[in-house]
Amino acid sequence: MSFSFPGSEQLLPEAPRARMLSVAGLAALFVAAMAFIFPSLLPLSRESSSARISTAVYPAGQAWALPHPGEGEWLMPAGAVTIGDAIFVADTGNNRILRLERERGRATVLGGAGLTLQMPMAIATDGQRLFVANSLAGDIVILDPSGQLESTITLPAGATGAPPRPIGVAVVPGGGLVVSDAEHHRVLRLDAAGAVVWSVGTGARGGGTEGFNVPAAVTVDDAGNIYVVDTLNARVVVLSSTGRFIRQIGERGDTAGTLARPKGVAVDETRDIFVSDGLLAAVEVFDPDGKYLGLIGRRDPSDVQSTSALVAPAGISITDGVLLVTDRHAGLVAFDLPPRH
Amino acid sequence: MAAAARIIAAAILGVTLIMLGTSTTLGEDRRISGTQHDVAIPGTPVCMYCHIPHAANAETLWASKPNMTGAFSGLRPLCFSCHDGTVTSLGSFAFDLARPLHMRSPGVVGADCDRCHDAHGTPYAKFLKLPGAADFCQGCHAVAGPVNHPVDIDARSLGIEPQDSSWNPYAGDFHGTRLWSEDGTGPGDYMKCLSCHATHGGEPDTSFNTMPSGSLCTNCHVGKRQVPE
Repeated sequence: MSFSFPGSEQLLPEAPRARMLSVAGLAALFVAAMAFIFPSLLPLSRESSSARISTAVYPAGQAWALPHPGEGEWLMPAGAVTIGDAIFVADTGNNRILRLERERGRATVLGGAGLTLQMPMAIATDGQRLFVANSLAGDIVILDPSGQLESTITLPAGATGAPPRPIGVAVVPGGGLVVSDAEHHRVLRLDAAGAVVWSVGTGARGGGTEGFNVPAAVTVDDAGNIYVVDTLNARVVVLSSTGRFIRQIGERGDTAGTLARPKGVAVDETRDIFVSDGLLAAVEVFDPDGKYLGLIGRRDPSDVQSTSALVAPAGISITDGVLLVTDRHAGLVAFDLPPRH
Repeated sequence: MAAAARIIAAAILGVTLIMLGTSTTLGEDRRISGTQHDVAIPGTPVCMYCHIPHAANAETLWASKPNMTGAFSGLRPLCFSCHDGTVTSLGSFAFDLARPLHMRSPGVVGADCDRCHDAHGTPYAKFLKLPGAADFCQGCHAVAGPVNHPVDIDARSLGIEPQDSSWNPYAGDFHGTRLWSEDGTGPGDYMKCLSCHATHGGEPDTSFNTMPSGSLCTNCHVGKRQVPE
Protein backbone atom coordinates (compact mmCIF):
# COMPACT_ATOMS: atom_id res chain seq x y z
CA MET A 1 0.00 0.00 0.00
CA SER A 2 1.30 3.37 -0.90
CA PHE A 3 2.13 5.70 1.89
CA SER A 4 2.34 9.42 2.00
CA PHE A 5 2.98 11.91 4.70
CA PRO A 6 0.68 14.79 5.31
CA GLY A 7 1.77 18.20 4.18
CA SER A 8 4.15 19.99 6.44
CA GLU A 9 1.57 22.66 7.10
CA GLN A 10 -0.13 19.93 9.06
CA LEU A 11 3.05 18.34 10.33
CA LEU A 12 4.87 21.24 11.79
CA PRO A 13 3.05 24.26 13.09
CA GLU A 14 0.60 22.48 15.33
CA ALA A 15 2.10 21.72 18.70
CA PRO A 16 0.30 18.36 19.12
CA ARG A 17 1.73 17.14 15.85
CA ALA A 18 5.25 18.50 16.04
CA ARG A 19 6.24 18.76 19.63
CA MET A 20 9.64 20.00 20.52
CA LEU A 21 11.49 19.64 23.75
CA SER A 22 14.65 21.38 24.75
CA VAL A 23 16.11 21.97 28.17
CA ALA A 24 18.12 25.03 27.30
CA GLY A 25 18.67 26.62 30.67
CA LEU A 26 17.01 29.18 32.76
CA ALA A 27 16.16 31.53 29.96
CA ALA A 28 14.20 28.85 28.18
CA LEU A 29 12.64 27.83 31.45
CA PHE A 30 11.43 31.32 32.03
CA VAL A 31 9.79 31.44 28.66
CA ALA A 32 8.40 27.95 29.20
CA ALA A 33 6.89 29.03 32.46
CA MET A 34 5.35 32.00 30.69
CA ALA A 35 3.93 29.68 28.09
CA PHE A 36 2.54 27.50 30.87
CA ILE A 37 0.97 30.46 32.57
CA PHE A 38 -0.29 31.91 29.34
CA PRO A 39 -1.27 28.86 27.30
CA SER A 40 -2.74 31.05 24.62
CA LEU A 41 0.81 31.44 23.41
CA LEU A 42 0.55 27.86 22.21
CA PRO A 43 0.56 26.35 19.71
CA LEU A 44 3.58 28.17 18.43
CA SER A 45 4.09 28.94 14.82
CA ARG A 46 7.21 27.94 12.97
CA GLU A 47 7.92 31.59 12.46
CA SER A 48 8.41 31.95 16.21
CA SER A 49 11.82 32.73 17.58
CA SER A 50 14.03 29.78 18.43
CA ALA A 51 13.54 30.47 22.13
CA ARG A 52 9.81 30.17 21.80
CA ILE A 53 10.04 27.12 19.60
CA SER A 54 12.18 25.45 22.23
CA THR A 55 9.40 25.93 24.71
CA ALA A 56 6.77 24.14 22.69
CA VAL A 57 7.56 21.57 25.29
CA TYR A 58 6.74 17.94 25.50
CA PRO A 59 3.96 17.87 26.47
CA ALA A 60 3.10 21.37 25.37
CA GLY A 61 2.97 23.93 28.10
CA GLN A 62 4.87 21.96 30.73
CA ALA A 63 8.11 23.30 32.12
CA TRP A 64 10.93 21.13 33.34
CA ALA A 65 11.87 21.66 36.96
CA LEU A 66 15.60 21.27 37.10
CA PRO A 67 17.25 20.23 40.35
CA HIS A 68 19.99 22.82 39.97
CA PRO A 69 20.41 25.76 37.65
CA GLY A 70 22.10 24.59 34.53
CA GLU A 71 22.02 20.91 35.40
CA GLY A 72 19.34 20.20 32.87
CA GLU A 73 21.12 21.98 30.05
CA TRP A 74 22.32 19.61 27.45
CA LEU A 75 24.99 19.92 24.86
CA MET A 76 24.77 18.40 21.42
CA PRO A 77 22.75 15.30 22.39
CA ALA A 78 23.05 12.42 19.93
CA GLY A 79 20.25 10.02 20.82
CA ALA A 80 17.25 9.32 23.01
CA VAL A 81 14.96 6.42 23.90
CA THR A 82 11.73 6.14 25.80
CA ILE A 83 10.83 3.82 28.70
CA GLY A 84 7.33 4.42 29.93
CA ASP A 85 7.02 8.03 30.89
CA ALA A 86 10.72 8.75 30.84
CA ILE A 87 12.94 9.85 27.99
CA PHE A 88 16.62 9.02 28.33
CA VAL A 89 18.93 11.32 26.42
CA ALA A 90 22.55 10.73 25.48
CA ASP A 91 23.84 14.17 26.47
CA THR A 92 26.91 13.69 24.32
CA GLY A 93 28.62 17.03 24.83
CA ASN A 94 28.32 16.76 28.61
CA ASN A 95 29.37 13.09 28.75
CA ARG A 96 26.29 11.93 30.63
CA ILE A 97 22.78 10.51 30.36
CA LEU A 98 19.75 12.62 31.24
CA ARG A 99 16.44 11.22 32.39
CA LEU A 100 13.48 13.43 31.50
CA GLU A 101 10.26 12.57 33.28
CA ARG A 102 7.25 13.92 31.48
CA GLU A 103 4.69 13.46 34.25
CA ARG A 104 6.84 14.96 36.96
CA GLY A 105 8.32 17.52 34.62
CA ARG A 106 11.88 17.21 35.78
CA ALA A 107 15.29 16.27 34.50
CA THR A 108 17.86 14.26 36.39
CA VAL A 109 21.37 13.13 35.64
CA LEU A 110 21.86 9.37 35.72
CA GLY A 111 24.63 7.91 37.77
CA GLY A 112 25.96 11.18 39.10
CA ALA A 113 29.68 11.67 39.30
CA GLY A 114 30.25 7.94 39.70
CA LEU A 115 29.32 7.22 36.12
CA THR A 116 32.11 8.18 33.75
CA LEU A 117 31.19 8.43 30.10
CA GLN A 118 33.31 9.59 27.20
CA MET A 119 31.29 10.97 24.34
CA PRO A 120 28.21 8.72 24.51
CA MET A 121 27.01 8.65 20.91
CA ALA A 122 24.00 6.34 21.06
CA ILE A 123 21.54 4.84 23.50
CA ALA A 124 19.21 1.85 23.22
CA THR A 125 16.82 0.04 25.51
CA ASP A 126 15.17 -3.35 25.94
CA GLY A 127 12.46 -1.72 28.01
CA GLN A 128 14.24 -2.58 31.23
CA ARG A 129 17.79 -1.41 30.80
CA LEU A 130 19.77 1.21 28.94
CA PHE A 131 22.68 0.42 26.64
CA VAL A 132 25.03 3.31 25.96
CA ALA A 133 27.62 3.41 23.18
CA ASN A 134 30.46 4.99 25.13
CA SER A 135 32.41 5.89 22.04
CA LEU A 136 35.76 7.17 23.23
CA ALA A 137 36.01 4.56 25.97
CA GLY A 138 35.39 1.79 23.44
CA ASP A 139 32.73 0.04 25.47
CA ILE A 140 29.02 -0.43 26.00
CA VAL A 141 27.71 0.70 29.38
CA ILE A 142 24.58 -1.02 30.72
CA LEU A 143 22.45 0.91 33.22
CA ASP A 144 19.14 0.42 34.93
CA PRO A 145 16.63 3.24 34.52
CA SER A 146 17.69 4.73 37.83
CA GLY A 147 21.21 5.09 36.51
CA GLN A 148 22.73 2.20 38.45
CA LEU A 149 25.61 0.70 36.53
CA GLU A 150 24.88 -2.96 35.83
CA SER A 151 27.85 -3.90 33.71
CA THR A 152 30.21 -2.81 30.98
CA ILE A 153 30.97 -4.66 27.77
CA THR A 154 34.48 -4.00 26.53
CA LEU A 155 34.62 -4.40 22.78
CA PRO A 156 37.49 -6.30 21.17
CA ALA A 157 40.23 -4.36 19.45
CA GLY A 158 40.22 -4.27 15.68
CA ALA A 159 42.85 -5.46 13.26
CA THR A 160 44.92 -2.31 13.61
CA GLY A 161 45.03 -2.60 17.35
CA ALA A 162 43.39 0.76 17.78
CA PRO A 163 40.63 0.92 20.38
CA PRO A 164 37.13 0.42 18.99
CA ARG A 165 34.84 3.45 18.76
CA PRO A 166 31.21 2.36 19.15
CA ILE A 167 28.76 4.99 17.88
CA GLY A 168 25.67 2.84 17.40
CA VAL A 169 23.92 0.25 19.55
CA ALA A 170 20.65 -1.67 19.25
CA VAL A 171 18.97 -4.41 21.21
CA VAL A 172 18.28 -7.70 19.44
CA PRO A 173 14.90 -9.26 20.27
CA GLY A 174 15.59 -12.42 22.22
CA GLY A 175 18.85 -11.19 23.61
CA GLY A 176 22.11 -9.56 22.73
CA LEU A 177 23.16 -6.42 20.97
CA VAL A 178 24.29 -5.07 17.63
CA VAL A 179 27.07 -2.50 17.85
CA SER A 180 28.75 -0.39 15.19
CA ASP A 181 32.46 0.33 15.46
CA ALA A 182 33.35 3.43 13.44
CA GLU A 183 37.07 3.03 14.03
CA HIS A 184 37.27 -0.37 12.38
CA HIS A 185 34.33 0.02 9.99
CA ARG A 186 32.59 -3.07 11.30
CA VAL A 187 29.33 -4.18 12.85
CA LEU A 188 29.42 -6.60 15.75
CA ARG A 189 26.71 -8.95 16.90
CA LEU A 190 27.08 -9.64 20.62
CA ASP A 191 25.31 -12.28 22.66
CA ALA A 192 23.64 -11.52 25.97
CA ALA A 193 26.94 -11.98 27.77
CA GLY A 194 28.73 -9.55 25.46
CA ALA A 195 30.67 -12.13 23.48
CA VAL A 196 31.06 -11.56 19.74
CA VAL A 197 28.78 -13.83 17.70
CA TRP A 198 29.76 -12.44 14.33
CA SER A 199 31.37 -9.39 12.80
CA VAL A 200 30.70 -7.81 9.40
CA GLY A 201 33.15 -5.41 7.80
CA THR A 202 36.62 -5.63 6.36
CA GLY A 203 38.31 -3.69 9.15
CA ALA A 204 39.03 -0.79 6.80
CA ARG A 205 36.92 1.61 4.77
CA GLY A 206 34.84 -0.44 2.40
CA GLY A 207 31.50 -0.78 0.67
CA GLY A 208 29.52 -3.20 -1.44
CA THR A 209 28.12 -6.24 0.31
CA GLU A 210 30.91 -6.73 2.81
CA GLY A 211 32.15 -3.36 3.92
CA PHE A 212 31.22 -0.09 5.57
CA ASN A 213 32.66 3.39 5.58
CA VAL A 214 31.95 4.62 9.12
CA PRO A 215 28.98 2.53 10.26
CA ALA A 216 26.94 4.56 12.71
CA ALA A 217 23.39 4.12 14.00
CA VAL A 218 21.92 0.63 14.03
CA THR A 219 18.48 -0.76 14.70
CA VAL A 220 16.77 -4.15 14.55
CA ASP A 221 13.25 -4.93 13.34
CA ASP A 222 10.89 -7.47 14.89
CA ALA A 223 12.11 -10.16 12.48
CA GLY A 224 15.69 -9.68 13.55
CA ASN A 225 16.84 -7.87 10.42
CA ILE A 226 19.56 -5.33 11.17
CA TYR A 227 19.71 -1.84 9.67
CA VAL A 228 23.06 -0.05 9.63
CA VAL A 229 23.63 3.59 8.72
CA ASP A 230 26.69 3.45 6.50
CA THR A 231 27.52 7.12 6.90
CA LEU A 232 30.10 7.88 4.26
CA ASN A 233 28.62 5.46 1.75
CA ALA A 234 25.37 7.43 2.06
CA ARG A 235 23.17 4.41 2.51
CA VAL A 236 21.49 2.13 5.00
CA VAL A 237 22.60 -1.49 4.81
CA VAL A 238 20.10 -4.19 5.71
CA LEU A 239 21.61 -7.35 7.15
CA SER A 240 19.95 -10.59 8.13
CA SER A 241 20.08 -11.76 11.72
CA THR A 242 23.15 -13.78 10.77
CA GLY A 243 24.92 -10.82 9.22
CA ARG A 244 24.21 -11.63 5.58
CA PHE A 245 23.83 -8.63 3.27
CA ILE A 246 20.23 -8.30 2.10
CA ARG A 247 20.00 -4.92 0.43
CA GLN A 248 20.94 -1.27 0.67
CA ILE A 249 18.58 1.66 1.03
CA GLY A 250 19.26 5.08 -0.48
CA GLU A 251 21.95 6.60 -2.63
CA ARG A 252 24.22 9.60 -2.41
CA GLY A 253 22.76 12.99 -3.20
CA ASP A 254 21.15 16.10 -1.79
CA THR A 255 17.70 15.82 -3.28
CA ALA A 256 14.53 14.30 -1.87
CA GLY A 257 14.98 10.54 -1.78
CA THR A 258 18.77 10.61 -1.63
CA LEU A 259 21.11 10.71 1.34
CA ALA A 260 23.91 13.20 2.04
CA ARG A 261 25.00 12.41 5.58
CA PRO A 262 22.69 9.79 7.11
CA LYS A 263 22.88 9.72 10.89
CA GLY A 264 20.01 7.84 12.49
CA VAL A 265 17.73 4.97 11.55
CA ALA A 266 14.48 3.54 12.90
CA VAL A 267 11.99 0.99 11.62
CA ASP A 268 8.28 1.01 12.38
CA GLU A 269 5.88 -1.89 12.72
CA THR A 270 5.32 -2.04 8.95
CA ARG A 271 9.10 -2.14 8.45
CA ASP A 272 9.21 1.19 6.73
CA ILE A 273 12.62 2.70 7.27
CA PHE A 274 13.18 6.18 8.70
CA VAL A 275 16.58 7.78 8.12
CA SER A 276 17.69 11.09 9.62
CA ASP A 277 20.13 13.09 7.53
CA GLY A 278 22.38 15.60 9.23
CA LEU A 279 23.01 17.63 6.10
CA LEU A 280 19.54 17.53 4.62
CA ALA A 281 18.16 18.43 8.06
CA ALA A 282 15.25 16.06 7.59
CA VAL A 283 14.09 12.50 8.11
CA GLU A 284 13.49 10.50 4.96
CA VAL A 285 11.21 7.48 4.79
CA PHE A 286 11.60 4.41 2.61
CA ASP A 287 9.47 1.32 2.24
CA PRO A 288 10.97 -2.10 3.04
CA ASP A 289 12.16 -2.45 -0.54
CA GLY A 290 13.91 0.88 -0.49
CA LYS A 291 11.35 2.91 -2.38
CA TYR A 292 11.37 6.53 -1.25
CA LEU A 293 8.11 7.50 0.44
CA GLY A 294 8.48 10.97 1.84
CA LEU A 295 10.21 13.59 3.91
CA ILE A 296 9.62 14.69 7.49
CA GLY A 297 10.82 17.94 8.94
CA ARG A 298 10.62 20.31 5.97
CA ARG A 299 7.84 22.77 5.36
CA ASP A 300 7.40 21.32 1.89
CA PRO A 301 7.75 17.54 2.12
CA SER A 302 8.79 17.38 -1.50
CA ASP A 303 11.47 20.05 -1.23
CA VAL A 304 14.65 19.52 0.79
CA GLN A 305 15.42 23.20 0.28
CA SER A 306 12.33 24.39 2.12
CA THR A 307 12.54 25.59 5.70
CA SER A 308 13.29 22.85 8.21
CA ALA A 309 12.16 22.32 11.77
CA LEU A 310 15.43 20.45 12.28
CA VAL A 311 19.00 21.69 12.41
CA ALA A 312 21.28 18.67 12.73
CA PRO A 313 19.16 15.56 13.30
CA ALA A 314 20.97 12.53 14.64
CA GLY A 315 19.56 9.54 16.54
CA ILE A 316 15.92 8.64 16.01
CA SER A 317 13.53 6.18 17.63
CA ILE A 318 9.87 5.27 17.24
CA THR A 319 7.68 4.49 20.23
CA ASP A 320 3.89 4.21 20.19
CA GLY A 321 3.55 6.03 16.90
CA VAL A 322 5.82 8.89 17.85
CA LEU A 323 9.03 9.56 15.95
CA LEU A 324 11.51 11.04 18.39
CA VAL A 325 14.34 12.91 16.69
CA THR A 326 17.41 13.90 18.67
CA ASP A 327 18.83 16.98 17.05
CA ARG A 328 22.39 17.95 17.98
CA HIS A 329 21.43 21.61 18.14
CA ALA A 330 17.64 21.82 18.31
CA GLY A 331 17.10 19.30 21.12
CA LEU A 332 14.36 16.68 20.94
CA VAL A 333 11.73 16.97 18.26
CA ALA A 334 8.79 14.56 18.33
CA PHE A 335 6.50 13.87 15.38
CA ASP A 336 3.24 12.00 15.62
CA LEU A 337 3.28 9.56 12.75
CA PRO A 338 0.12 9.08 10.72
CA PRO A 339 -1.75 5.80 11.28
CA ARG A 340 -0.14 2.93 9.42
CA HIS A 341 -1.78 0.14 7.47
CA MET B 1 19.03 27.83 -22.31
CA ALA B 2 20.29 29.21 -19.03
CA ALA B 3 19.40 25.96 -17.30
CA ALA B 4 21.36 24.00 -19.87
CA ALA B 5 24.34 26.27 -19.37
CA ARG B 6 24.18 25.72 -15.63
CA ILE B 7 24.04 21.95 -16.10
CA ILE B 8 27.04 22.03 -18.40
CA ALA B 9 28.95 24.24 -15.98
CA ALA B 10 28.08 21.95 -13.10
CA ALA B 11 29.23 18.93 -15.08
CA ILE B 12 32.53 20.58 -15.97
CA LEU B 13 33.09 21.59 -12.36
CA GLY B 14 32.19 18.15 -11.11
CA VAL B 15 34.63 16.43 -13.45
CA THR B 16 37.28 18.97 -12.54
CA LEU B 17 36.78 18.33 -8.85
CA ILE B 18 37.08 14.60 -9.34
CA MET B 19 40.25 15.07 -11.37
CA LEU B 20 41.70 17.39 -8.77
CA GLY B 21 40.84 15.08 -5.94
CA THR B 22 42.48 12.08 -7.51
CA SER B 23 45.42 13.90 -8.96
CA THR B 24 48.80 13.43 -7.40
CA THR B 25 50.30 16.30 -9.34
CA LEU B 26 48.08 18.99 -7.96
CA GLY B 27 50.66 20.32 -5.59
CA GLU B 28 51.81 19.09 -2.25
CA ASP B 29 50.02 21.79 -0.34
CA ARG B 30 46.57 21.38 -1.85
CA ARG B 31 45.31 17.85 -2.11
CA ILE B 32 43.12 15.60 -0.08
CA SER B 33 44.51 12.21 -0.92
CA GLY B 34 46.50 10.94 1.99
CA THR B 35 45.31 13.58 4.43
CA GLN B 36 42.95 13.03 7.32
CA HIS B 37 40.21 14.31 5.05
CA ASP B 38 40.74 11.42 2.68
CA VAL B 39 37.79 9.32 3.79
CA ALA B 40 37.43 7.52 0.49
CA ILE B 41 37.36 3.82 -0.04
CA PRO B 42 40.69 3.12 -1.75
CA GLY B 43 40.36 3.50 -5.49
CA THR B 44 37.32 5.75 -5.40
CA PRO B 45 37.18 9.54 -5.90
CA VAL B 46 37.83 11.47 -2.71
CA CYS B 47 35.63 14.42 -3.70
CA MET B 48 32.23 12.82 -3.63
CA TYR B 49 32.07 12.58 0.14
CA CYS B 50 31.56 16.34 0.40
CA HIS B 51 30.67 17.35 -3.14
CA ILE B 52 27.62 16.15 -5.02
CA PRO B 53 28.71 15.67 -8.63
CA HIS B 54 25.26 15.47 -10.18
CA ALA B 55 21.99 17.30 -9.63
CA ALA B 56 23.28 19.16 -6.60
CA ASN B 57 20.99 21.69 -5.07
CA ALA B 58 23.80 23.88 -3.85
CA GLU B 59 25.87 26.09 -6.11
CA THR B 60 29.10 24.68 -4.80
CA LEU B 61 28.18 21.09 -5.42
CA TRP B 62 27.97 20.07 -1.84
CA ALA B 63 24.92 18.94 -0.02
CA SER B 64 22.07 21.38 0.00
CA LYS B 65 22.18 24.23 2.46
CA PRO B 66 19.70 23.25 5.14
CA ASN B 67 20.50 26.14 7.42
CA MET B 68 20.70 29.41 5.60
CA THR B 69 21.20 31.79 8.49
CA GLY B 70 22.40 31.96 12.05
CA ALA B 71 25.32 30.46 13.91
CA PHE B 72 24.89 27.07 12.24
CA SER B 73 25.07 28.06 8.62
CA GLY B 74 27.53 28.31 5.78
CA LEU B 75 30.28 25.69 5.92
CA ARG B 76 29.67 24.81 9.54
CA PRO B 77 26.98 22.16 8.96
CA LEU B 78 29.17 20.46 6.37
CA CYS B 79 32.16 20.35 8.74
CA PHE B 80 29.98 19.20 11.63
CA SER B 81 28.51 16.41 9.53
CA CYS B 82 31.80 14.57 10.09
CA HIS B 83 33.20 16.29 13.20
CA ASP B 84 30.16 15.38 15.24
CA GLY B 85 31.60 12.24 16.80
CA THR B 86 30.67 9.94 13.95
CA VAL B 87 33.40 10.14 11.33
CA THR B 88 35.67 11.77 13.92
CA SER B 89 35.45 13.19 17.41
CA LEU B 90 38.22 15.70 16.71
CA GLY B 91 37.10 19.29 17.08
CA SER B 92 33.55 18.47 18.04
CA PHE B 93 33.63 21.10 20.78
CA ALA B 94 34.06 23.78 18.12
CA PHE B 95 30.41 23.33 17.18
CA ASP B 96 28.98 24.20 20.58
CA LEU B 97 26.78 27.08 19.51
CA ALA B 98 26.74 28.51 23.03
CA ARG B 99 30.43 29.31 22.85
CA PRO B 100 31.96 32.06 20.77
CA LEU B 101 33.65 31.36 17.51
CA HIS B 102 36.18 33.50 15.71
CA MET B 103 34.42 35.89 13.35
CA ARG B 104 33.43 34.35 10.05
CA SER B 105 31.09 35.14 7.20
CA PRO B 106 28.92 32.08 6.57
CA GLY B 107 28.86 31.11 2.92
CA VAL B 108 31.52 33.57 1.83
CA VAL B 109 34.41 31.74 0.23
CA GLY B 110 37.60 32.35 2.18
CA ALA B 111 35.82 34.03 5.05
CA ASP B 112 33.86 31.15 6.52
CA CYS B 113 35.54 28.23 8.32
CA ASP B 114 37.93 28.45 5.40
CA ARG B 115 39.19 31.76 6.73
CA CYS B 116 41.66 29.72 8.77
CA HIS B 117 41.26 26.16 7.54
CA ASP B 118 41.59 24.70 4.07
CA ALA B 119 39.83 21.37 4.01
CA HIS B 120 41.67 20.47 0.83
CA GLY B 121 44.95 20.16 2.62
CA THR B 122 47.76 22.40 3.77
CA PRO B 123 51.33 21.79 4.89
CA TYR B 124 50.31 22.66 8.44
CA ALA B 125 48.55 20.86 11.24
CA LYS B 126 44.77 20.96 11.59
CA PHE B 127 44.44 22.05 7.97
CA LEU B 128 45.46 25.56 8.96
CA LYS B 129 46.29 27.92 6.13
CA LEU B 130 49.17 29.60 7.89
CA PRO B 131 52.07 28.32 9.94
CA GLY B 132 52.75 29.38 13.46
CA ALA B 133 51.06 26.82 15.66
CA ALA B 134 50.21 28.62 18.90
CA ASP B 135 51.25 31.92 17.31
CA PHE B 136 48.97 31.34 14.36
CA CYS B 137 46.91 34.42 15.17
CA GLN B 138 49.76 36.71 14.23
CA GLY B 139 49.37 35.65 10.63
CA CYS B 140 46.49 38.10 10.46
CA HIS B 141 46.66 40.05 13.70
CA ALA B 142 50.05 41.69 13.59
CA VAL B 143 49.42 43.52 16.83
CA ALA B 144 51.46 41.45 19.22
CA GLY B 145 54.38 43.71 20.03
CA PRO B 146 55.82 45.98 22.68
CA VAL B 147 52.57 47.81 23.31
CA ASN B 148 50.64 44.61 23.81
CA HIS B 149 51.00 41.79 26.21
CA PRO B 150 54.26 40.14 25.19
CA VAL B 151 54.20 36.78 23.51
CA ASP B 152 56.96 34.37 22.61
CA ILE B 153 58.53 34.82 26.02
CA ASP B 154 59.71 32.13 28.40
CA ALA B 155 57.21 32.73 31.17
CA ARG B 156 58.60 30.22 33.59
CA SER B 157 62.07 31.71 33.40
CA LEU B 158 60.42 34.90 34.66
CA GLY B 159 58.91 33.06 37.58
CA ILE B 160 55.40 32.98 36.19
CA GLU B 161 53.46 29.80 36.73
CA PRO B 162 49.78 29.63 35.76
CA GLN B 163 47.62 28.42 38.59
CA ASP B 164 45.44 26.58 36.08
CA SER B 165 47.50 25.49 33.12
CA SER B 166 45.06 22.92 31.81
CA TRP B 167 42.66 23.67 28.94
CA ASN B 168 41.10 20.51 27.58
CA PRO B 169 37.81 21.11 25.81
CA TYR B 170 37.40 17.42 25.06
CA ALA B 171 37.03 16.85 28.79
CA GLY B 172 34.79 19.88 29.21
CA ASP B 173 37.64 21.96 30.63
CA PHE B 174 37.46 25.41 29.06
CA HIS B 175 39.44 27.23 31.74
CA GLY B 176 43.19 27.62 31.89
CA THR B 177 46.19 29.35 30.35
CA ARG B 178 48.54 26.97 28.64
CA LEU B 179 52.26 27.45 28.20
CA TRP B 180 53.81 26.21 25.00
CA SER B 181 57.07 25.03 23.57
CA GLU B 182 59.11 27.71 21.84
CA ASP B 183 57.82 26.66 18.42
CA GLY B 184 54.27 26.54 19.69
CA THR B 185 53.60 22.96 18.74
CA GLY B 186 53.31 21.42 22.19
CA PRO B 187 53.52 22.00 25.93
CA GLY B 188 56.40 24.05 27.23
CA ASP B 189 57.29 27.24 29.05
CA TYR B 190 56.41 29.93 26.53
CA MET B 191 53.62 32.45 26.51
CA LYS B 192 51.78 32.36 23.16
CA CYS B 193 48.60 33.83 21.72
CA LEU B 194 46.79 30.60 22.50
CA SER B 195 47.79 30.86 26.14
CA CYS B 196 44.95 33.30 26.65
CA HIS B 197 42.78 32.87 23.56
CA ALA B 198 40.97 30.00 21.89
CA THR B 199 39.32 30.61 18.56
CA HIS B 200 36.90 27.79 19.34
CA GLY B 201 35.54 27.34 22.81
CA GLY B 202 36.49 30.62 24.45
CA GLU B 203 34.54 32.31 27.16
CA PRO B 204 31.28 33.93 26.03
CA ASP B 205 31.38 37.68 25.61
CA THR B 206 35.17 37.88 25.57
CA SER B 207 37.84 37.95 22.89
CA PHE B 208 37.81 34.15 22.87
CA ASN B 209 39.55 34.20 26.22
CA THR B 210 40.37 30.92 27.87
CA MET B 211 39.24 32.21 31.25
CA PRO B 212 36.66 34.70 32.45
CA SER B 213 37.92 38.24 32.30
CA GLY B 214 38.16 38.51 36.07
CA SER B 215 40.62 35.67 36.37
CA LEU B 216 42.47 35.63 33.08
CA CYS B 217 45.28 37.91 34.28
CA THR B 218 45.48 36.71 37.86
CA ASN B 219 45.75 33.11 36.76
CA CYS B 220 49.38 33.91 35.91
CA HIS B 221 49.97 37.17 37.73
CA VAL B 222 49.33 36.25 41.33
CA GLY B 223 49.94 39.67 42.76
CA LYS B 224 51.45 42.57 40.90
CA ARG B 225 54.98 41.64 41.92
CA GLN B 226 54.92 38.74 39.50
CA VAL B 227 54.78 41.06 36.54
CA PRO B 228 58.33 41.04 35.20
CA GLU B 229 60.11 44.35 35.11
